[in-house]
Amino acid sequence: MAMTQTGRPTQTMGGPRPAVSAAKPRRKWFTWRKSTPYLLILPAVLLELLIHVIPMIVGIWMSFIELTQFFITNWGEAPFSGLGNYEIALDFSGPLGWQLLRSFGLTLAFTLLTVGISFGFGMSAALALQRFGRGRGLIRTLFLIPYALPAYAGIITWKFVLQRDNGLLNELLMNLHLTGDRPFWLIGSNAFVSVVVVSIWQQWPFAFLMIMAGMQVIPDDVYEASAIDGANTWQQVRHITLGMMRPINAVLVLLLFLWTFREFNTPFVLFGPTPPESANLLTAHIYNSSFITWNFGLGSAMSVLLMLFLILVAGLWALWNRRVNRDA
Amino acid sequence: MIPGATVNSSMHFSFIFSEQNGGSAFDTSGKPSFTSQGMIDGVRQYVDLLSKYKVVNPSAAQYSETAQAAAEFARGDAAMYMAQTSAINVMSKNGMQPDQYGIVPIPAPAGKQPIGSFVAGSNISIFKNTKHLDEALQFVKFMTSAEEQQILNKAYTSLPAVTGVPAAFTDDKEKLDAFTTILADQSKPLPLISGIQAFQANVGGAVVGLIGKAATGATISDGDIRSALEQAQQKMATTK
Repeated sequence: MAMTQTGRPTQTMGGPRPAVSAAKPRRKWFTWRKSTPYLLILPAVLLELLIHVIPMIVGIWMSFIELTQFFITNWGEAPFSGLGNYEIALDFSGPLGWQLLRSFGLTLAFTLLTVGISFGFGMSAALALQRFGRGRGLIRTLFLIPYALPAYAGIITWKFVLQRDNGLLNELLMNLHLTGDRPFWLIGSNAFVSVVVVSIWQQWPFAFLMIMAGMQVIPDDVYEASAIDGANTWQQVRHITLGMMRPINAVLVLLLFLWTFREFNTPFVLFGPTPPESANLLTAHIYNSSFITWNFGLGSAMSVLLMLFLILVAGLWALWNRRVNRDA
Repeated sequence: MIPGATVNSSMHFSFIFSEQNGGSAFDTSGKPSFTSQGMIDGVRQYVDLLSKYKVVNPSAAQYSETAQAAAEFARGDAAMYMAQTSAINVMSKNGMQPDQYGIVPIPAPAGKQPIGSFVAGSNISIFKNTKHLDEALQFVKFMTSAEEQQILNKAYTSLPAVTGVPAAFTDDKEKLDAFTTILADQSKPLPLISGIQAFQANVGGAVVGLIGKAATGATISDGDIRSALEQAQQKMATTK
């Protein structure tokens, strides 16, 4: 506001309301400018509540009641059991609890292997494809096919490939005289290898896609500058590529971990509802010991425990990431 | 040929063979008695087909659906196949017509009870809190009427659930008679308890695990069978 020589203040900024000398101007409670952002996200919030949040809360509620086949038609009548379902799930002296613990360990090993190798493949492929001139688009499309394929179609095909008597894998091994007799891939201890391989086959194109996208952001002159300074390729990869992609890689690894830990389709389609001991992943185990016997209360309790673990992992990641961001 | 990794088939054959051995899955008060000697002998008999007598291809331990086992038989890769009447449908879809195979009751070893099957099937129920009781009852009457039973059982190649309706799932009279006789003389009913689904999942799952172990070459001792059935029985306790 500028003071003119006559002493009367003039408004230099345009405003919606003229300056009133005596009364304080009334603030409008609802303006389109303030409300528009909220209105725009309202449909998304409603759908998110409906599809994600409310079913999750219902699921958590289910874990505190004995929801069996007798109460399916009227959930409200199911008896409240407090932490009863959790006690059964965590009773490590009973068969259910002990198998849950074992499944948890197996799933952790499965997830670490799958995420590690998928990330490695994705990074290698992205680095290799950077130097590619022609044919890059074709190769990229080929690499993305496993990820684009409908999950069940791909896994059922793998199930045929891994059959002992007439599966493609054993045919190959026999023809190349690599082993004496045909091994089992869908039962026994090899089942773990099978489920890891099929998971990696499905997941690594996603890692490849994200890493490739992340690499585009790094400008070329950084590489040139480092080359002038005498950095070799490995040093470039380590310090420039990995260094500058740290935030993207952190998010990618977290996503892959959460998705792989919850993986259900792969063991269920490969092995049926009763997976072999070596591949009894957590989600398949939860299905097998609760939902298949219509004991939804117990299943929900185990699922809530799974969720708590994943929240813990995500929380630890967030803490570590803040430190990373501060340092970077 | 057996569908080795199929949970419900594993339960069925465990039940049949345990009845042959005089055992019973549930005692008179309805409590599970999976560790009774008869049950253990029955499961032993089933698993031995693969592990001791080696008359079953170990690959059967991979078949998590009965359709896979039926396809093996239809292709001619197995000489015998233990199945229900519904297999007639599956095999004709795989190209094997009823005149290409014969049907006999599942035999019992010498000195054991001649039980070859059990009586169970798809059920129809009316919910306690239904608002349309009359309509529901009418529907049940319709589904169990002689006319509708004939239509249904022809389509699903199954045996009628009501008396007075002749079996008609195939045109071959010998096969019809074979199954009717089995149903009348050589079947035991599956126990009518509320935990029957849990029984199937737990015992079936335990036996699938044993078959899987046997297929990969491990020897299955009586102790293995007993502990597997014990675990199944403990799991039953968690589902009321």
